[in-house]
Amino acid sequence: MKWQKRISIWIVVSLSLQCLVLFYLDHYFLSTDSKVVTEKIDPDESGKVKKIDITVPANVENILVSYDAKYLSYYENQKLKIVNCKDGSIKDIAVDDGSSISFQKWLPDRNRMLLVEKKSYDDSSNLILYYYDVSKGKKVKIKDLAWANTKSNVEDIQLSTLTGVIYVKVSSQGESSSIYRIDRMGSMTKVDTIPNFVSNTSLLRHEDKLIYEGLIYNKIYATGREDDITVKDTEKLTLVGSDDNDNVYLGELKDKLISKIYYGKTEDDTADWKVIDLKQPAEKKDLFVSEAGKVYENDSLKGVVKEIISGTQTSYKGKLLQLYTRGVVTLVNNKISFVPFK
Amino acid sequence: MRRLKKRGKKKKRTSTLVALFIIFELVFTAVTGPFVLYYGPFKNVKTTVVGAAMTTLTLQWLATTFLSDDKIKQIMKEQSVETIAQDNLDDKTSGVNVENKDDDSIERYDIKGKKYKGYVLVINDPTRMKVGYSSKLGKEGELTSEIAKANHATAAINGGAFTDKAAGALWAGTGANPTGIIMTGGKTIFNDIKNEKEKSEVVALTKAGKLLVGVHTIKEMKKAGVTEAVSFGPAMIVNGKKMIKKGDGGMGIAPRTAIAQRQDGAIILLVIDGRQANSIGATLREVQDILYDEYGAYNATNLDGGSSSTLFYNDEVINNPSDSLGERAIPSIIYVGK
Repeated sequence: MKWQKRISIWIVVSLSLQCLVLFYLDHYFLSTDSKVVTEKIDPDESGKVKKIDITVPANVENILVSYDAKYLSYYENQKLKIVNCKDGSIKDIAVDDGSSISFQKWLPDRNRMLLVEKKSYDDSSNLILYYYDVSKGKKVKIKDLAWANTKSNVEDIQLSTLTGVIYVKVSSQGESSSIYRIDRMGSMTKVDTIPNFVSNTSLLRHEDKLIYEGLIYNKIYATGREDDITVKDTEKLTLVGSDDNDNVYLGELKDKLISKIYYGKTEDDTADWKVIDLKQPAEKKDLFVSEAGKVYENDSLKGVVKEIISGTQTSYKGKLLQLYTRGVVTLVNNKISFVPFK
Repeated sequence: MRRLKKRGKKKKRTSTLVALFIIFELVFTAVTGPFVLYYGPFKNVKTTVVGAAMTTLTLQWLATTFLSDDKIKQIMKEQSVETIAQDNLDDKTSGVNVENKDDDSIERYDIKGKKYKGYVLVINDPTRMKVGYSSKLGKEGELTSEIAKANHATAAINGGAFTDKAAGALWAGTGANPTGIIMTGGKTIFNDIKNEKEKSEVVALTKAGKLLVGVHTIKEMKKAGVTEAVSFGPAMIVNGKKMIKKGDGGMGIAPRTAIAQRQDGAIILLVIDGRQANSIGATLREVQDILYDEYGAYNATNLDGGSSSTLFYNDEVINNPSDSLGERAIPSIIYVGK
């Protein structure tokens, strides 16, 4: 074939492809589409159901309750299920072939979950973030998080429904952790942390500021700030949590136990922060900071959750699963029970 | 032996040819693409690209490299929304007569276009419409559904304008700080419009139940007997006339919230979902046309769209807000009282 002829054909191919794409965009995608199909919706008159006892199978793991305790989720045979606590109905969350749900978290003020699906290949895996809207029964992909080796997992998700920002911490055994920030427009950036290994994290509610703890030296940092947050006369600090008013709660660590909690706002001098003294040093896993800024301590031997400042005690039977806005959730002989705070 | 060599050569030639073809196509398309786009017959694509480029700070060169300033100005002008003054609201020439006072019914419709899904509520008695606001105004916004529940509302849509910034991070606002005006029950809750004679875009309702859209001064609003107001725009239908006749309204495709009034006084609330696989959103032009052609709107205005777009009805949010975390916090709503 002659070169002239060949080039002419190539030019025609390019131009017709361009025109085809632009024609599609022009006439379909960007054309004004004001023709709509209208459907009248009549009100739904179905009655309300009474609250019933929720019993879970014996082999379930990782029971989590939504903020208002209207729904709970658990794993059964590696499948995620969601139970409606009003009528006891159970829903399976479908996953793609070759994938499994590796992390889930209920949102703090609405019946919606963030899920991480892990798709595994021979020597790598892909982590994908989804949301699940319980009221509409809809699972929607948010973002491909990262390609990683098979051992990588999402360890923690922090989010604020006020600022619309999500922080996802991905860690792999023996390797440094990666933290990704996703904003409400869906754009994702990797966060530069000061130490490479990060343990606890907590996100402020009103401000786009992530508080994080270095894994090795137990120092506390905040995004957008170069020096670490220090408290005078303390050597090691651990991040206990933060509340809805952007107060940060730091525990003074001695022999892996916390005896004092300092709390206040990051922009204030920590010398002005308030202090809570614990009568008995406690483990971090037994301390909880509520949205309202109350600090609770769990005594699993006695079966008591104590609000530290007022000393109010809430007794429970069985195993403590978690705290929610109005009380504690426990598991007694496979039965879920909700005990309101005293 | 000789044959084999020849075949190898031929194979080699074909692969070079394929590589050459790909390189040629890429280079040729990259060079000619902008000219086909800007000087070809594809008007919608051209105006969308120019509009999108010119509304950014850093990507204006995408348009200015290939088009003259005059040409760009002309394209941008074609996209603009017309403005005319709304007829006097005091007398009968306003064109709206509230006919269905004390009619407490609401009709709900779901609508479906080629690239979007939407939800419509028709409220027959316009005097039921009220403005609600976040109980923590200035500190944080609240969800449309939260404000609606606090006011015992039957239905609600998100309302007026606010600044969407938090400590320098764009899009990370908490919906705490409104802009313009918020008025409810005749009381001014928030107002940063200092001059009473300054014209600004408002969405307001008078005591008699008439909807004000487009630019009005605070003085005019007082005179017309406005009791409920938030700030937003542009007005899309005024005095029964469409304001967008050319172009798409210049705001692109996104989730939308709008409020309109028919001549018999009935209020139409419209929310269109966007930024989702099965509903990418709508242009202002499309919103205008739906309200005019399908629902007979006489006056209509756009409200805050995007992540804010929310429609609450009978104790639940019936649309699907675009944020992955769900409904976002905002400073003000427009709701239907009991």
